Amino acid sequence: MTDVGIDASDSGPLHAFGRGGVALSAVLPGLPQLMVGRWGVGGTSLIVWFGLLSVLLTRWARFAAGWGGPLDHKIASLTVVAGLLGAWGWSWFDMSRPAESRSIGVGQWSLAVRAFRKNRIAVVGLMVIVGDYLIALVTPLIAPRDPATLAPLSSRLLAPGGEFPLGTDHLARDVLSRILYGARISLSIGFVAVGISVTIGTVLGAVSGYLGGWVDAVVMRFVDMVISFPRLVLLIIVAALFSSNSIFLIMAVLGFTQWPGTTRIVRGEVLSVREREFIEAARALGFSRRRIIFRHVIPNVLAPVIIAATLGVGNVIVLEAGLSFLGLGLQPPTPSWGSMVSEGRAFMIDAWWIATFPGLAIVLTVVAFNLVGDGLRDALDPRLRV
Amino acid sequence: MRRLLGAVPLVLGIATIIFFLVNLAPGDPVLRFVNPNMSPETQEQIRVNLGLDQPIPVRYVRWLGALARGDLGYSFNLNRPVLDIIKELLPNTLLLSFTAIGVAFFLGISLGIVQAVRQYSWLDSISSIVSLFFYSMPSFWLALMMVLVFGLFAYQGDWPIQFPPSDIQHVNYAFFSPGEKVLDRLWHLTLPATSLALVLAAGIARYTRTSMLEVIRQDFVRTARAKGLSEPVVILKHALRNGLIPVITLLGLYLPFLFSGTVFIESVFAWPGMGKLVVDAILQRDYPVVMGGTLIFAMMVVVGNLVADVLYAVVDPRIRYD
Repeated sequence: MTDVGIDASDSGPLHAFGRGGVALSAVLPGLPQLMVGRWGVGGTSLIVWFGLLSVLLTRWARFAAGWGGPLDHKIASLTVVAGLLGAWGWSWFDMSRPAESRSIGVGQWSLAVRAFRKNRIAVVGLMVIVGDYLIALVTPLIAPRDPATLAPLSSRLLAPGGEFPLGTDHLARDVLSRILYGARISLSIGFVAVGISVTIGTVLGAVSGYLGGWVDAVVMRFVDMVISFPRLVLLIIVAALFSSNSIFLIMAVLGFTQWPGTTRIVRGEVLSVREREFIEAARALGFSRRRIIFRHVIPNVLAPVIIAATLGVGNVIVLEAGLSFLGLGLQPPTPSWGSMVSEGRAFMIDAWWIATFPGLAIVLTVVAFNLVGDGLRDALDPRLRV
Repeated sequence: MRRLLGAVPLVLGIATIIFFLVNLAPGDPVLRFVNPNMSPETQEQIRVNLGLDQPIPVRYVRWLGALARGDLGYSFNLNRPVLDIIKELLPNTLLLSFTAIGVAFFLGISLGIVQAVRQYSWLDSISSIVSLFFYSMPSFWLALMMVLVFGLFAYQGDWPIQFPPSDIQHVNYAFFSPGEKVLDRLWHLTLPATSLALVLAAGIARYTRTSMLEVIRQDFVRTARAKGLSEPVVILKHALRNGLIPVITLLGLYLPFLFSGTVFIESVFAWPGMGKLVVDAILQRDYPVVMGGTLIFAMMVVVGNLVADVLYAVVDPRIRYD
């Protein structure tokens, strides 16, 4: 490790802008960073700033009405304000710090952050994800139409362009609006399901790896069994049996079947961590097993967990789309990307756009998660950092 | 051999999970046969005929007993023994999945080698991005897009390459000569197998690239080069054999994935196979078919893992099983 000190790309001549740079970032957050090549910070804050500002200006009426509207409207308006302030504040804070203070940390995490920043394509992935979540939050403000409102039947199956940028479906609903609303479903299912699976996977893996013995044997045989079981069958059985498929059910089902992979990874890491001296020290101090596992073991195996979680979100989004495609996901009026593809399938000959665009949305989102996951693996895995 | 014996309790455990999952789930298969004019006695008779009047533990023991004799039971809805149905549909699924796996491993490994040898070249970066896109694609969507392009636009635009958008063989298949029959099957196989293979190949290429990169940096590769061996021999004979070890794990890992792949692909291409059978059976609560089909898939996964273990030992003599 030679480059633990001040990094050439990080100690750029930001301070050369002096107070002018700070002033510039107050007007156009991110621009000064962009000018000195720190385009991760710069690009993100500039895009967020411009995106939200244009939402604010073009949808002023909806924004103002949002405060008194339903919950998702309130959240959308709140997101616009918070996002604008956040982008502005972050850029300003980043500018006004002296250049040296930005490169002091040499801990594992700050090294990883630096390695991740250098991976441009992963940063692009992260920007796409941030954009995805922002869009999901402000959808009620930006969607051209209500996703469930049926336009006159004369505008059924309209080709993309004009009034409907991505065309209309067989019920004359706007495809673009439905994709925007569908983002919420896919992203929240991915987020919650992975949260469930990571929690179960980490705790089981850590307990099993640390305790060893028969606990380990039982847990690992169970993991083997769950992994050999065709997961899709399990998903289909559960989804088919509960006739009213709420979003929470889908989240739970996906989450409770996703964990075995994480368990295996965590157990493998714990096996090596538990032999280390600091664990021995903790044991010598007479800490309880529970305290050792949760306070000492788990924090030291988090890196692979974070990687698995990021890659897992993409996986869950594809699976949810698959369930919806088979007609077992959420009930029809709710726009989900998978069910849109499934509905569009019947109209492929007349209207290719109904099935194509939601699929593209899935691919773009999942690619972004996989890019970030790969970037995190490169950044967090010291074995690869030569 | 010990591994083979170890697989028996695993399969038994899976069979038990399948049984209780299917039988304890809410929903009544008899309701499918009920119509408003039916007397309760008739309903009860149907229940007895299907063997559903017995308590669950009795049904479990009976089912396991029949299973030991190789009897998977009798389908509620299709009025045929489950084993016969599976015998008829399994070859279709195996044809599709083995073609896909073969193509995927060939494509993926070759691409991975090229990427590793030409690391950081434009070829490497472009194919990495492209394979990441395929890797992230839902297979059903890729299949639909293939149908759209090669099965619809190709016919509309009268392109030279056209493929059938669905079905397993031509309507007049029975009247074809043997040569034409093979060609026709291949022609119908192309789109489904390619859709499945592309998604798999992308993942395989990513793994092969990483593991080949690790191997190429090792000392013995340098030694081989220093001996004056030609580059293809070094890469294909010395490095590849070591680089393939992690890739073989994928074979075991991909088998369950392949099941979900076939479910979607079979559904898109109207391919009469196991995936479609099991999904339909679940929706109709046809318990024996669900249990039989799932069990076959689970066994394929277990066998696949065993095969992967054996292949390990073949590729890497350092690994021994006692």
